[in-house]
Amino acid sequence: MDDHDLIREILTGDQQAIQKLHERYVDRIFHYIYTQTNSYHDTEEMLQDVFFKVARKLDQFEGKASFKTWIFKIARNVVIDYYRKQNKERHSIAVEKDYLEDIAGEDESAETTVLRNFHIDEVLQLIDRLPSHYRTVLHLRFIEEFSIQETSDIMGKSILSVKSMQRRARLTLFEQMNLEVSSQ
Amino acid sequence: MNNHRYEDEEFQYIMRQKKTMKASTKAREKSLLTFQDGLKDVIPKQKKKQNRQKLRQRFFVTVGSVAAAGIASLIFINYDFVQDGGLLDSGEDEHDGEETFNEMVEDENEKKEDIILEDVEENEALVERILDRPIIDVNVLNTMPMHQIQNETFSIYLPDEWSIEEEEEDYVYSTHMTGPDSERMEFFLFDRDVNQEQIADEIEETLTKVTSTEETTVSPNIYNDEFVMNNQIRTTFDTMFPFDNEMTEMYAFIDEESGRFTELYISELFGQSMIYMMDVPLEDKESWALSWTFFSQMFVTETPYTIQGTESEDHPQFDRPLEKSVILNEGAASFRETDIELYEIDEFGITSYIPVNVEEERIEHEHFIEFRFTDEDFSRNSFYSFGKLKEGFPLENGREIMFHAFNIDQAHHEDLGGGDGYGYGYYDGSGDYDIEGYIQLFEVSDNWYYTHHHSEREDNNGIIYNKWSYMFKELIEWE
Repeated sequence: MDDHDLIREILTGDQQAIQKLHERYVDRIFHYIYTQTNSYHDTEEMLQDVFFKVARKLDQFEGKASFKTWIFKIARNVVIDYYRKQNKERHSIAVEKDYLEDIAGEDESAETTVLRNFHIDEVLQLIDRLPSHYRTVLHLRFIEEFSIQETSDIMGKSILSVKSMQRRARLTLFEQMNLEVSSQ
Repeated sequence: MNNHRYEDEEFQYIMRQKKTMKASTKAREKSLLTFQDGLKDVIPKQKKKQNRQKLRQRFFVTVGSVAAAGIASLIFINYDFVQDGGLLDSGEDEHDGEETFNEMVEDENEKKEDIILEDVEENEALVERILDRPIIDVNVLNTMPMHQIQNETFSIYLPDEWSIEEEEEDYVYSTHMTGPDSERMEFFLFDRDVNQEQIADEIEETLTKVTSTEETTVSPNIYNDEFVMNNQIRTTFDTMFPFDNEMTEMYAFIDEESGRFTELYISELFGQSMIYMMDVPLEDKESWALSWTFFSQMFVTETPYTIQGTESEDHPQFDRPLEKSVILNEGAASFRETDIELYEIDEFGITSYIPVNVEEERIEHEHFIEFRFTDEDFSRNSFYSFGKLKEGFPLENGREIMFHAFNIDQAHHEDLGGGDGYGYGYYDGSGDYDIEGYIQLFEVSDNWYYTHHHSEREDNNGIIYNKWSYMFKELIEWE
């Protein structure tokens, strides 16, 4: 039974369908939120918030996009609201833009070479240190395997901006790896 | 291409090594309960809606394939008939029947496709077309009346014969501006605690008023570059748009059929989420410049204006933010964001704010105590100060005492006058550099204080130091 079938069943009051849909997404949404907050406690709170919002709006879900895109978009909004209320982070994508633009034209195969020379744990640590919007785009694209179009829907950004963000995320990571190498 | 794919796979492999964080059993249970709880009201509502849809289908069978315009009236007749006949759910209130009718009419009107912003892409030819706007003529601008909007928070220029209506709702304050030839601008500013869905709802609502045969995204930088290249006019902030371009989405729509040109800006203005829409006649190119005039000439009506969301935690004793950012005007029509920090003068029993990074110094003079603030990076020979006059200060000799204390050469100085009561403006060109300044004495609760700015002209900072001094006085809280 796909997501749309489950939603139809839920709206007729089928309790099992509610549990199935919840089970299908609870860990993915949890992991997605955690990626951006790095706080287990906050993630738990936001997880409830996401599912409450999904529930309240489920009858308005039109099925134009996939349910997966829709729920991730809601999760993204919950995270933004959380940051806004907590004033924990001012969102900005002005990350050494000029430098990144400068190196954007470099041969990407160099990236692969550097990736190979690093231990995976080290790379993952560096990913955790990236700004949250970079982590978000990498998570959505490479873990959830959303397309560029779906990622742009979820993040509320244009396709071009998602492409550029993804490239910058990778370049920033690449740059940090180079810094690690040169400091060793 | 293959190389890219290989790199993507490599990257994907690494990302997937990330330990997946799973919700605890307790967190899953809570989340499920919340989900179920949230659905409690939604499911009955949906069931009711489904019942109504079944009823509607019955109506449509009745009317068959009559033309759209006629359908509504036929349905209406049938609707009356059915309701009188008691076929509607007995539990429905009287408005439900009306909603059903409206929904039917809406169904007939919803033939035009909705605009989905996520689907809008850059259309270079259209961008080129909409960049071609008349320049903002300063002479025309000077004739435009100034209006205060958003509960008088901002001041803008609008051509003659425009009307403004404002509306305050729970989380958004909206300004609706209407011109004499069907031009329209709408400006929404949201409270800080608004959630993204409320903003999305307002965007959706705004989009219902937009029709389009061609659309494009627009980079604010392109607008800015075009504006700077073709317009000689100054902007009130450093850039054409007073918001952060990186956080902005801009769209333009042209509807050749209805002859409309529409722009939509979604951004954050001084810490508040913002939606702006301009809708003007396509053929009236003069009106295309309205949005650029609106933002490039907009200013904050009263300064210092605190940018929402920039306040740090409060000082535990004074309940005032330790730091925040404000907008200050520098001169009549130039505005800039300044980071300021809380400053306490314990012996005066006051707190106020000074720009971060200024140096402070306490100086005891014969007749008054001075707190002097300097920013040597900005100007080595300038300062501003706040102070308290000592008991018995001879006010009638205020000018002489203050000028003497600050080495203003009374033989050479030019009295600039101005101010009220005990205000002394001066210009002094007798030394190594030209100085202008102003000293104002004032009384609060039987004590006398003063503000003073002393600015080197070469640094062109008379205005800045004047504003910093003014800000200090404006933001004083007395214990």
